Amino acid sequence: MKKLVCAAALVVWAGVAAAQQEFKIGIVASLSGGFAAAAKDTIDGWRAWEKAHGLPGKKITVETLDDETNPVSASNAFRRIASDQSVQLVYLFIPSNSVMAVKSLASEFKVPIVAGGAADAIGIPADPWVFKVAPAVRDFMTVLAQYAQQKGYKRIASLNSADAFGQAEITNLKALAPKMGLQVAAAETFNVEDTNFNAQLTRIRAAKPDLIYNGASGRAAILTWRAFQQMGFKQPLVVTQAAVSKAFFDAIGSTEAADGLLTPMQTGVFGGSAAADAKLYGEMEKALGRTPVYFNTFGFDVGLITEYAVKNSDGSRQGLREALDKIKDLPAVNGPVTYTKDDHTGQNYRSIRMGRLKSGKPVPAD
Amino acid sequence: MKRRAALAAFVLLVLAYPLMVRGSYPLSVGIITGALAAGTVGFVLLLGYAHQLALGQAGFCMVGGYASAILCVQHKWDPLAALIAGAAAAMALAWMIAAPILKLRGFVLAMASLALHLILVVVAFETAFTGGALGTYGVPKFALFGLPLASDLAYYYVVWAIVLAFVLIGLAIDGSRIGRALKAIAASETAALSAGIDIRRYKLLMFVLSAGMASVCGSLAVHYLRAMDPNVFGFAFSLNFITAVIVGGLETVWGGVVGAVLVTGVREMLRGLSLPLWEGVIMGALTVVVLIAFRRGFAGFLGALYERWTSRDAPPRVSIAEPDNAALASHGKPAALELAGVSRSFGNLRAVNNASFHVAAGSITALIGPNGAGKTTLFNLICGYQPLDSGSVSYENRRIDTLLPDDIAELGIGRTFQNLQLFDNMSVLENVMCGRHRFVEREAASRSRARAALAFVGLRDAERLPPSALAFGHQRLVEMARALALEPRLLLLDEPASGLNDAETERLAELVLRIAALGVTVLLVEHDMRLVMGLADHVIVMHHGEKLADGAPDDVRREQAVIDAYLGIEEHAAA
Amino acid sequence: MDLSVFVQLLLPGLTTGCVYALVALGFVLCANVSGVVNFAQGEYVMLGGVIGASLLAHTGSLALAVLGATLAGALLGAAQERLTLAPVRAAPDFIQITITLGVAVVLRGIALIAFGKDPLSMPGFSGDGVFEVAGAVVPLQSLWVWGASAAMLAAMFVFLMHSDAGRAVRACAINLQAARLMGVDAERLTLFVFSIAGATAALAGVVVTPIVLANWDAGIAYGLKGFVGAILGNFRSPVVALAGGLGIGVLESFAAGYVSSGYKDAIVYGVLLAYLLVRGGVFVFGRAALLSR
Repeated sequence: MKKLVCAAALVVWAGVAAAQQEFKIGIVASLSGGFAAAAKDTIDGWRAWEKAHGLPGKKITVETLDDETNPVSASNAFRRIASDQSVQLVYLFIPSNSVMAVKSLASEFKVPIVAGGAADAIGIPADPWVFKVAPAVRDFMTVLAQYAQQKGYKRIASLNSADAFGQAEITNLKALAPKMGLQVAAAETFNVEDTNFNAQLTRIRAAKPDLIYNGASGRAAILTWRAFQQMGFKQPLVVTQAAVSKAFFDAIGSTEAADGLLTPMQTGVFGGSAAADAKLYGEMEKALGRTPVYFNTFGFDVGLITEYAVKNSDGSRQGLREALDKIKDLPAVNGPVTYTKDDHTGQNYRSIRMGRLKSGKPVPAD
Repeated sequence: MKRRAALAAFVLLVLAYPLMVRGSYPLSVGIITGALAAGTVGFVLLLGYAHQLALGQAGFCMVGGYASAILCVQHKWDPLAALIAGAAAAMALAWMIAAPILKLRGFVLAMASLALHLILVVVAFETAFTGGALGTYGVPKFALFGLPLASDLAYYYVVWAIVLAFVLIGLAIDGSRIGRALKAIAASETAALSAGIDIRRYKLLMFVLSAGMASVCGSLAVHYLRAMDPNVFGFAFSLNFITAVIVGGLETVWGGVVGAVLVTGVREMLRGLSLPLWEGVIMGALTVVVLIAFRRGFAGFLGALYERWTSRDAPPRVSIAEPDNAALASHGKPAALELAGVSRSFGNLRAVNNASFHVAAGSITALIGPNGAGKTTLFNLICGYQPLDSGSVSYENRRIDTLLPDDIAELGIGRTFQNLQLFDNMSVLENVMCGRHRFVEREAASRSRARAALAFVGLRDAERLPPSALAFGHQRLVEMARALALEPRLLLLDEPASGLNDAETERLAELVLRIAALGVTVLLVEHDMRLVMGLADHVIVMHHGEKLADGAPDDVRREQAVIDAYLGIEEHAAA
Repeated sequence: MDLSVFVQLLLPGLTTGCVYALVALGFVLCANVSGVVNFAQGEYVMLGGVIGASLLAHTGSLALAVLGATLAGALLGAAQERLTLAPVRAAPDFIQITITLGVAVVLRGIALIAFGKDPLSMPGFSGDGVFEVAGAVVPLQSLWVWGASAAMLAAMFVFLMHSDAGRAVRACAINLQAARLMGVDAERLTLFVFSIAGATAALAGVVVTPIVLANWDAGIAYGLKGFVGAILGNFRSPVVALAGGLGIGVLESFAAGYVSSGYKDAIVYGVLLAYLLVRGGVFVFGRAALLSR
């Protein structure tokens, strides 16, 4: 009798142990610095996935390090996390510059990385260990150009930040424009810390565009929006997704003040039937307990990708990597995810739609 | 001895560190600290030795970083060659900027260096060849003479070996003629000029050298980060240099090493406590507190501890030894000086008005006159500290009135100062060795000649002491010895008896006679009439900026104008 | 040339130029009386902005915000002088200047911790409207900036020309040693001047916040550009420093508008560098530079 009890206990214990098999994820996120708000939203979205789905049969443990929104710290934080052999998977919830700094090291540490960041260079050329999620700048510009073409606009003026993100925007736009019968009438840049955009707006006005794209976010978004209002611009204004935030609405006075602003957004942000996958969107909204913003949806998608990879591998670093490489049209909140040997961008323009702000919420613009 | 102890401690700690820590992250920290130290050692030379607060040092790190990144990635250069190329480029850039700017007074170089840095940042952002905002990625690991350093540990040792090399360079400079020149400049620029030290040249040298070392810092960091973009070496990085060097210690190159370690340590600690926002406040506060409370910094503190442990008894009081007349040999013909129509005004005040006189070779000439007569101004004009408004000064038939003080010293004109200008930051012997500056000779020769000068004035036993440890009269003798070490053909003494008692004045007179016997023309400004009348072959009297009388002592003192203006009461006493 | 473009670039350039001019003036006054270049000067503009915006958000009173910010600038300037410079008056210049750099870093750090990394805003003093000049659109707040700057400059002028303390300051500018010999208490005067410099910078900062927002890291750019203005006047002449500051503001605006917004900083700092290089190259006789003031 005693032997039976012991054996049973052993089995139960083993079962429990197996059920509680640990899966450790290392996260490098911008807990401080300019990208902190976005990183926090991403983590919230990922937690929503954990609550709604999680990894059945596994206990997820997480170690998070701060990159302080700078590439050097990102690099150091990554080294620290990747050296820990118990970490199976690394997330990067940091801006593009920092992701690129880590990308240089990826092959050395051989741990699969799921990264954010909009820069095209993250996914192309593809590094075997780095998997980007969320569409690239190339894709946002594609949607912008498609919208302009559809509306019959010919001249686009673009205001971009003088950083990797901004440079990618204008490079892509200039490449797309001739193919879609458009002309880049003005291409202005600004430094992220600038507070005076007078010169740039003056030149944009002189160029007489049909449509204006403004890539500013944060403080620059507020100031440029004001400047556009004050100088009496009448053209339709397209802003980047990242510009639309609570701080923005607070600074300009109310959510209604921004009515009419256009912005290409991840389909997941539109919610409801406009989301690429309404069911997943519903799950996310429920787990989050509030209306999701863009970076929440991104975090949720990262979780979905993780889920697939773990389910289709032995859970080792190499195994996860191989599983990730095989992903084709995986359903996600923002749009289907596909990785190929040469392109680790993940999502593309199919995940984006042009939206129009109404009382602080986007509705599909047509 | 102290140096050997420091070197031993350094090597020991560098070797021991990788053994004391586990994991690759602490080793990475060790590498980054080493790269930073390579730059901060150079920065000690600039800020601590040459007193130049360059605010844009990170700009030179950028040059090195981009050179390594671009040459290695796009042109497949060998990393060591790229590092050297980067350093060369940084040094050339530093020279081009600083050579003209150092002619200006004030802290313009500090801001010019920051302006340069910010311009480089813009250029890095905007141009394609640097990779623009995204920068350059995929920088290979560092390789030594073609052999790639696969492991982090190997790289760690290479980085610290480079730091050691830089420290040795710094220490070599410290104990050399250049080091003495820098210390002299720091203590008294006026006196440094009088010893023939070209101030601008040494400041420029330190700026260029530190730029090269900053560039190496950048290259080493980039081979570790494996990527380079315009954000890596921003203004905050320049502040790191400054904080590190201040906290570490400005007086010795070890301060750069200690500072780099401390700054990195503080940062890692803050990161561990999740207080990254506090880094700025803490670094700034440390800088302020160290500068107010303990300027020698942490390395200085360690040095002071070491001295306390190994100190001997207090040095004995120095009494004046018998001067050794044979110590100095005659060094050539004495020189003549000719002033013609020299004038100098300050605003409405005519300090010197049309002064003309001749100082005969080999004579002892005294320049006397009441206060405000223009005597010191005349000295400053002769020695190049002030420009002439009109007239000419000729030395051995050669016009010298357009030359700068250090050039004039190079010609063999020495001087002493009324308000004693000794270099308090060096020993008595080193003070006198500064006088040897215009001669390019080996250290041993410089030392022995300086000793000879000290022996000549009777201060041989004082050579190890700091000047402040000597009595005032003896300090005056040190200044004389420094001027004599220059082997002058013309010696200008500005109120040499000022502050001396009767006995000391007697000895001073004997010394002046002995100097003249060596074959030196002596021109002195003096108030003490007894000294002047007994000593001088030739007296020139000045009053209100004009020459009043000119001739043998006995003739001059009988002139009515002189009596009225100056000697009046003395006449009764002297008669 | 399009007049509206020219005016559209000129007027906002003058607005930022006013701030730079006041910073330049602060630099010159402090340097003349104490011999020290105060690197923290730009930070007072930043502090005026963040403190003013904070006070407005907490109390709702504009008057309190402006007065509070100005007072804070005055007190902090005095504190900087008393706590960090007075104890080391005998130290070499470069040590004192490095201390001011340390103070600047501390002020930035404290602003970051106390006010956060996000920019703070204030509504325009008389609303956020605009007015038109020759086809160019200018925020109404610019009038406040110009007005406040002019008032401060007028007050400064009256002070320097017609008051004892002001004359003492001018005496120090001409020859510090002689001024001391004449009985000028340079120590008390330094405290006073640092306080004034801090106050004017802070007031400028709060008045310009409705246009450019207030952010913890804005101090360096203000300091550097104000410095360019001061150095054009060789750190001696307040009038040239003012003109220099205004000039740099306008140059910055024109550079961004007519040449390239990406290169505007390079152009402004390039002007500084070029000016220094030329002065150094033409400066043949270094003698005057060798004598201390």
